Amino acid sequence: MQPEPNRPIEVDPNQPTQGGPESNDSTQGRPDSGEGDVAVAGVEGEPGPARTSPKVIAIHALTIRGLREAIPGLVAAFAWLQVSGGVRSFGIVGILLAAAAALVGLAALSWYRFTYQVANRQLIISQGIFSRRVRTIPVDRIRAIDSQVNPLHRVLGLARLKIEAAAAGTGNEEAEIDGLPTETAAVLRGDLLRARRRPAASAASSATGADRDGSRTTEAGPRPAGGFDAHRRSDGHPDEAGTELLDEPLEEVEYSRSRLSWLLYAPLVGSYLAIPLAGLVFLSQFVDDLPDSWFSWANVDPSTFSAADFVLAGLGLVGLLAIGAVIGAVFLNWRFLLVKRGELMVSERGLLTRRTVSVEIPRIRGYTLSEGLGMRLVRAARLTALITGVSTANSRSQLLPLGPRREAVDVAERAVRRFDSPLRRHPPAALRRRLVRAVLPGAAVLVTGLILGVVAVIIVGVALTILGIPLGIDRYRSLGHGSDGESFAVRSGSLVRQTTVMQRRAVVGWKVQQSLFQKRAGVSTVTALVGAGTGAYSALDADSADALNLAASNGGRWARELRPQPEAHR
Amino acid sequence: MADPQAPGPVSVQNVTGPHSGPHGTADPAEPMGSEPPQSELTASGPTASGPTASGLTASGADGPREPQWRVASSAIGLWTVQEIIGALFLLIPAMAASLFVPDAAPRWLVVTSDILPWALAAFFLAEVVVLPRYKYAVHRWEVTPDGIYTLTGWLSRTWILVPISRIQTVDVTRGPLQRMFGLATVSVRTASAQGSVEIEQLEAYTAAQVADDLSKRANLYDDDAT
Repeated sequence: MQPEPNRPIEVDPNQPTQGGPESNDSTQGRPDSGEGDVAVAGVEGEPGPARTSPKVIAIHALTIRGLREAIPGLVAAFAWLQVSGGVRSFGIVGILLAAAAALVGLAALSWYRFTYQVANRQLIISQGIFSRRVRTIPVDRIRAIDSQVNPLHRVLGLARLKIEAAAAGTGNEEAEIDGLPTETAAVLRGDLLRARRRPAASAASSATGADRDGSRTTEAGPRPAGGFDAHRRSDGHPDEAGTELLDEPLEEVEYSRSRLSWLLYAPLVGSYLAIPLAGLVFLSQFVDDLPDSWFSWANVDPSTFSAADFVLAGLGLVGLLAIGAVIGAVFLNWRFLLVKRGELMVSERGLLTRRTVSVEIPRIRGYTLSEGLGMRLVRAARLTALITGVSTANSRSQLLPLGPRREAVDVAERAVRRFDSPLRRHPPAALRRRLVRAVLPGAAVLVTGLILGVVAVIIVGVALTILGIPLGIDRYRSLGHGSDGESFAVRSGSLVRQTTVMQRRAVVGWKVQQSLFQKRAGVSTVTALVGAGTGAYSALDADSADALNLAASNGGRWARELRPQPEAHR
Repeated sequence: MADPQAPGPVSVQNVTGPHSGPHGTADPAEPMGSEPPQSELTASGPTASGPTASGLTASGADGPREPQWRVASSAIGLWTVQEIIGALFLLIPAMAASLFVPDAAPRWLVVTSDILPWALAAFFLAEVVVLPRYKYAVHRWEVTPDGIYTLTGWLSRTWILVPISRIQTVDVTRGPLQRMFGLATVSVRTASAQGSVEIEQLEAYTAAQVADDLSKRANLYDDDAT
């Protein structure tokens, strides 16, 4: 309970070697940490700065990244060429060779200048060919580490680690270690995550007490690390984290493994349909460069088409889009696998580029189940986790990219927590308000059309108005909220219906909003502020007393200020 | 307009104390039956409450209870100045435009351009007089035993309650206008991207005290407040 001087995150590269103020865990034996963490760094067998595999030079020289880094050098080289007698004296081959040599040389230089080191509970990465940049990330601030294996990396047996750290101000800035041998990468990732695991976990559990979630039950059971912990305890540092044996078998629980048939859901999801469209747009810019003779088959007069031809063309286009969506899903989600490994939730996916994402289970605060309109037709869903410090837009939070709803609910239950309380409907006033909102845009168009006297606008207005009715009704039917004691849920949305289940301890604040209209209708919008996902999850137009009850009962003692006033109860 | 009763380094009680508003004489007695005081602020809080809570701005049947304390009364002056500046930004162009309407313009345009600036002026005058006072009447804040609690908004109202255990940073900011009126804003941020609370227009000294108290208490919690 000793106050930390640096609540806003500070990264000070000039920390003294003994445990500095960067660590959260005042309960730990501080003086020992310097020693203990050198062992973490000892991936390469020595505590000093380590380099990545030299094979990465090949990758950097071959890819655009290398080219980008090489541009200053190349510009200088060309300038020198101009000065020393022009291009002709060297010949084109000579220039190409020189350029290639420069690329390789620069890649080698940048490899040589790149070192990483774990020391004193900090990950220190220094890089930069001409200007040196040293980045120091306290191990405790590391939110997650992804491993990515691109095709070239796979050929060479390398991996790229992306380290997401909580940085002040800039949101999440990623550090990157490119070109570690796959095993080293796995070991380093595990080490780093474990090194900071214990403080975070103990802080979370001490802060929440009764709010422990079901997903952490294994921690209470016999852990594989037990023997090692016992050993440490004899040293008098039972809580010293991050030095578990590297070859220790971690218990592994499989939560989900994708089936091929799930890829067929892709055409019903907007974001997957966008993949082939984006591809078409990308390709279309090359059309002008291609010889016209390639398109002679397309020189058909459209006026000779019959209606059937148009229908066929339309169907063909839809079919192509669908196939493109499936192909996109294959590349992205191929052999999706979600397992729990110790206290990490690890997911793998991707065909050419295989992404492995590890997330700490104690940082998971809930989940969002998203069902788009098309997905609801076939009872499919997508599941994302609410992870503190990680926005939902981040693909890291995915627990199930796309699968049957039943599977999504099942994964949510096992990986996060079971939520079984029926959601409470919102009062009829909410239906009225949803309907008004859904119909108003169409009505506005209609009125405009009537004023201007344009038939087309009137028709569009009528169509939009009529479409607004089922939309409003569906939006109302989506609304709901509920609470089962440890977690609570809010649901809304029609085009994408989102059910978010949050643990009580996820709440960092409550917001209650009431406009004049809402007040007259006896409804309020209550919003849970959470440090994960989008940051705020609302129950729209809930009955005012219900809304306040939801807020007051989901939070600590502090939330009780929001209890509905007794005389206010309807 | 500045509240005269905020001399130098006195106890917080005197400062958070009664900004006796249009109604409501402060009643310094009667601590509310809540948790044991954890901070000076909480202990002294109820002094600012008194009858205001049940006055004309009582939250009615539907909202949660109101936070107990008003913002500084000099906020009325600040808001008035702000409203005047905002009004001038609209009024001056409107007046200028009406001067340039040629007499040959259609009659409805001429008439409108003659009337509009005056109508606008009347509207803004009413707004400048009424709005700051109304805002002062409805804006509330409070440091509860465990949290920070605010009520803002005059047509649609927003209550925000953030527990001290989840506070990430506490900032005090003072704009140039605020400086003229001796006011400051306390911003409390949480881990949520959308979860920051601002208590606007506190007396500078009170704001500093609140910020200090909040950050001290937030530091007592031994986790990363997520």
